[in-house]
Amino acid sequence: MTKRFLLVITFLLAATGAAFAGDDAPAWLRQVATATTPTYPKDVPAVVLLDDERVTVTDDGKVVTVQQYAVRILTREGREEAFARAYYRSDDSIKVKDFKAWVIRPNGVRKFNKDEIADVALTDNDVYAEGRMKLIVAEDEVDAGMVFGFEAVTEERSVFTQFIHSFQVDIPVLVSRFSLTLPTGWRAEGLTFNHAKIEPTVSGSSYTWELRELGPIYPEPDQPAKTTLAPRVAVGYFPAAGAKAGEGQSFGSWPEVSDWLYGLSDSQAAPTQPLTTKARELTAGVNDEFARLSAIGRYVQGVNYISIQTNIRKGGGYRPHAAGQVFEKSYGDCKDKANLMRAMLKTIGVNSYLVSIYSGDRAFVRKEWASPQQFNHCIIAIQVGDSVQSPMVVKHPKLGRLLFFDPTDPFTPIGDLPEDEQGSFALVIAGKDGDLIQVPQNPPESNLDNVMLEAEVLPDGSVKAKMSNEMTGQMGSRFRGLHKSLSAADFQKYVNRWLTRSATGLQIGGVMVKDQRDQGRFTLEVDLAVPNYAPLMQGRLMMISPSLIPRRAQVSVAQPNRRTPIEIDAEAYTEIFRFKIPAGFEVDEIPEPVSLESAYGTYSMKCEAKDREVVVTRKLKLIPAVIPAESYGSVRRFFGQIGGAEQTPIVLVKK
Amino acid sequence: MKRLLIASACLTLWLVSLWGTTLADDWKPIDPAHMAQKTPSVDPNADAEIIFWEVRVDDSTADLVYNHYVRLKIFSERGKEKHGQVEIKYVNPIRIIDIAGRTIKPDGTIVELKKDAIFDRTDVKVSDVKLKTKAFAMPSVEVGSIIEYRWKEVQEERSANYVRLNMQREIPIQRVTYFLKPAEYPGYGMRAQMFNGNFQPFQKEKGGFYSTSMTNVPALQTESRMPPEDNVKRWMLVYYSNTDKPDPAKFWNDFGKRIFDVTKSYTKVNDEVRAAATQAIGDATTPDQKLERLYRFCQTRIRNVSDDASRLTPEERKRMKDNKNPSDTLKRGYGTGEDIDLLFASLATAAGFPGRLALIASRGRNFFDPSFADAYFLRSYVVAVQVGAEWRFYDPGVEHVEFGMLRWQEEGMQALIPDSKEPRFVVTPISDAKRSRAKRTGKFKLDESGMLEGDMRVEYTGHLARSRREALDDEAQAAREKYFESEVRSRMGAEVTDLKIENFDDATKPLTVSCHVRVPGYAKRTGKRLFIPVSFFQYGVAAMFADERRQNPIYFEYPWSEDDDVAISIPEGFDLDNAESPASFPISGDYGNYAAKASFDQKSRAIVYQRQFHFGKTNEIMLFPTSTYSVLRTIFGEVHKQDEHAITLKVK
Repeated sequence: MTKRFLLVITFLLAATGAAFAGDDAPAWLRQVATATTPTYPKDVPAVVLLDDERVTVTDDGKVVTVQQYAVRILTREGREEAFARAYYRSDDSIKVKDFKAWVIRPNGVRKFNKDEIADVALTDNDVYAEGRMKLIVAEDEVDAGMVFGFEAVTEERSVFTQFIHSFQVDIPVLVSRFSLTLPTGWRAEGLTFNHAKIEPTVSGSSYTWELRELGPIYPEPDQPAKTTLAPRVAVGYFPAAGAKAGEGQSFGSWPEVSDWLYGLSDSQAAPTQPLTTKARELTAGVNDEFARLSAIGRYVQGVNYISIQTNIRKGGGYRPHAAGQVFEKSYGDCKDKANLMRAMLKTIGVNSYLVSIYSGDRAFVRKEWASPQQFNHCIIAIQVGDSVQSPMVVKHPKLGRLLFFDPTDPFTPIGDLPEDEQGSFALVIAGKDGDLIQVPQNPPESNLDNVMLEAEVLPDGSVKAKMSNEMTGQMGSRFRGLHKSLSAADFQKYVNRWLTRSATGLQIGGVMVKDQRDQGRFTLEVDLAVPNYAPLMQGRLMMISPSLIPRRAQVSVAQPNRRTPIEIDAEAYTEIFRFKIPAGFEVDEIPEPVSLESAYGTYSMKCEAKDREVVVTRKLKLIPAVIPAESYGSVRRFFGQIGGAEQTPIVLVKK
Repeated sequence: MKRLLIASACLTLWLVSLWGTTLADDWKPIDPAHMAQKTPSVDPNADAEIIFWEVRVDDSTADLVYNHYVRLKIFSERGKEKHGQVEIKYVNPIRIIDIAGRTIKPDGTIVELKKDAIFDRTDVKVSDVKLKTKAFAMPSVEVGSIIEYRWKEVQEERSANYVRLNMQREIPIQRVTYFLKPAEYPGYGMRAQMFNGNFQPFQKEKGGFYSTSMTNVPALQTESRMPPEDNVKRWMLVYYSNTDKPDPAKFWNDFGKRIFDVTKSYTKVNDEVRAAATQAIGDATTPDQKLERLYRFCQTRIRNVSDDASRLTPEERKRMKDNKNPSDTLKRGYGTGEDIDLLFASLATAAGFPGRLALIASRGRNFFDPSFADAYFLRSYVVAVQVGAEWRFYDPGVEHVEFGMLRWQEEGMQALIPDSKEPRFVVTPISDAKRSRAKRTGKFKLDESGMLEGDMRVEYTGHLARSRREALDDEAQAAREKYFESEVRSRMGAEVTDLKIENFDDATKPLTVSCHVRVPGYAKRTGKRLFIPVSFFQYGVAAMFADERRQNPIYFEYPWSEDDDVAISIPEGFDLDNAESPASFPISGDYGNYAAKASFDQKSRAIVYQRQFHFGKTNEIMLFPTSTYSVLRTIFGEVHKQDEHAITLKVK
């Protein structure tokens, strides 16, 4: 939820705020509020005293959840941690039965009344979604030292028999607990992620997983997703023999998940005449297999991304709209688009499968837990012949060669995948033959940023140059995304601001873009001029910074210490800058060559002067890795050495 | 009776369905030229363009009704993505009804927006207040499509008095038309004031409507350092007035008298106020001293409950009583910003300096022009105090404003001083560049690798101090420190330690920030030389105007100055290599000056650098037309060039 959105709610709530003399907090909250907390660094805004989620499953599959939560505010900034929420759905498949919140202040207790509960749609970018939440925002009611607590009771009839409990978001936690009480004879199993295995305490058919005293997860640049850092448990339950958990589905293996999802989705991919005609029209006269797939892929990428989330209770979150309907309206969400592509491919005799994946954190999906709840996105795997050669092809023992493609990402062509999906586990939905497989990850050389610069340094210190910047793989996709998303004027501004980072007053003569999308290549050509780039000092010395074109992305190593791991993406850079030196000057100093090797990558820089030209060649290759905070010093050293090497100027003197 | 009701309901339903049918079919014919149009006509780079946007504003009934009809053409994939999904936001009890839409594909096929594809979303509901959205996705949109949709907005029991109507939006418009149907208020007529564009005169239309249009309206662009949107955007203010063509001078004269009558009791001086004034003034003798003491009294002795950093909870606010006069404010020791201003006016009057609450507009929102005879823009206030023949202006009800200054938004603006006989506009002074100063000092040591280490200190005054205090006064000390630390760290990649903030809550003293910094790679090192950027405080600061082109005028909020004093001691084993000083220059038009000087102190072996820069004229709002952008860019480019001046050291 955006901060701006919270502000709107805060504003609305301010109009309804009311105080009650003699309010009291429940015993559990009063007791928790007495807890002493460790001394945290001064930038820790709040600490969770208790996050207790208690789930009771009845023998007809009804799930009642009671959550008790208390947070102590430590700083003024921590006030924004004082909020309560309870999720529900407008179709009544999840109901909020009770929702209360309190603030414990030095001078008494403040209980929130019903008028202060906001009811908020969870639409994000959806046109419509059934997901909603009850929300109490208490930011204006608390200050450092106070304790905010809430209790929520929800009732659900889920299509699943599985739960996820995250023990932490980012602030420290004193106690976090997940308890599950099942009917007699039923059993539960849990898996722990991002933490050593947590053994539950079991009492009859009640299970409890608990963690205590979790330190804060500090926000830092180039950090892995918090979902990879915060500990969580995934818990599944299984009815006693002969019993049934209402409508709840339980899964023992990935093929079972695949089979269930296949049952929901397969019939939706039936081709209709109009989409058949379109698919044939797109591929008419195209014989090359990859080119045929590209033609259809491009078409589906052009279908507008629009999400309408309804009928969730009956699996609407997992069932795409019928392909014919999506084709007719020319819009849909990720599963609609993947399903449309599947239907279109069918009409030209190509078999394919929907694929469930997690977008945003390639390490999120864990093989050990067979559950559809691990995914938030849908792509496609296409059966291809040997003529299709791509790093995104995986050979599956039962399904053959599969080419993975994301038709929702409008900028990544077929043959590549968005960066955050590469290397992730994904479920190929192919009935009982479906399984979880690991999507390939491109090598650094596939995400290449190749910059060639031909520059002429004039006697007054100004520079005229032509830059050609060819990008492949995800480098190209990112820039293609910018080019397609920004208006022409804003794109030029972006290029201008990027180049101005290393050359003040830079003027752009022209920007030319060459997008060879099907080849996964994007080229930018810029004519530029920079007055006073090489300032003339004392009328005889000229200093040329060899880094006229700044790198767009850099690993951030400005902070001296690091508290969380640092994530490095697979990328490669090749830069050849030629500086023609002005008449009457000669080279006095050039930077020494540098060659660095580390576990995170390699770097080389050489500078050569010959024939009135100085040529600077730099190569950087970054190996994808998640490096623990303890090794940050060596990462910092590596990138610090690169920074140092690139700042060393070329010095010319007047003859 | 019941049967009659049923019959009536059936008739209503039938009429509604008939009306619905009529509406659904009532689309305007498509101009073949628009179907054939391949490129935008208003802005060649636009992704989509509104062919027409018509709004019928009907104020003739108890409800205020807007009927919108939008037709637009899609020119690119970006346009398709951006405009394929439509969201109409509203707040209850406003109703959005009769939504209809359709897509006309490039081949002429028409695809209707189905009713079940229109969603009514309650985004947020708190108590009885609902923020809602009507959302729908236009069907079968492709590049080259025309999409059109319309809806009716009903505001119950509302009037069109002081309604703002946009003629310009974030997308270019070929033609925008407003049809207005006024209410009939005896003696009053609907008026429309146009801003920032050439509006067509109103024309009489059928059904009691009057229309005005504007054609070829470019998209509204936002840029840094641009004037407030109200001064750039084409828009119209609709209101009712009992005068057809009011004489501004007469209007303000009458209005100023009325305001005087209404406010005079609020600044009334009684014995308590008089005693408080005497005590606060103490031994002060000059008018300035006396007023300053009264000002301090109001700022320090009265708790300002309007201050967002007052840390009052809603409950505490609720318990507080409203002050009816300055005496109440004095007794209770708290008050709103307005109460504090009124108290100050009253105390000043008691001290022999007649004080009034003067009305003023904020130039953060709009540049007020009194030739528009309406008080719509005069929404703020300051205290005008008469000292001899001169009016001076103060605003103790606003936190962190130094004595003798106003918020920058209210400096240089016409303030209406109410009076029983002769109300008048007086322009408030603009504080000069020296009052808003950043005084920066630093003493550093450079090592032979080019790393710089030492202590720095910055003192902010005037608007420079207030903007920081205002932004951070609601934050804890740790967050304030983090803010200043990241300001230094992100600019130069420095490691910052021992950061101290002084005088944060005391606007009588400069807001001071000091710290120890360590900047690896500050100077560029080659085999034989070290190149040292001497302007430490400008190191890593980007040039002010990076973009080559500009759409909007350029607006500086207030004049400011920078005063730097830096010493950098150089490492052993190096000598100066014919060092030279950066250049100094005046800024044309008397708008400022840049003076920089670098020298070498043999005794301490340190480069000593001094820089004085100021920009802005006294009593002139710094608003520059777009045509002067290249001149300004050159001036600030030259400032930046000199700020990047480096001194060369060579190995001995």
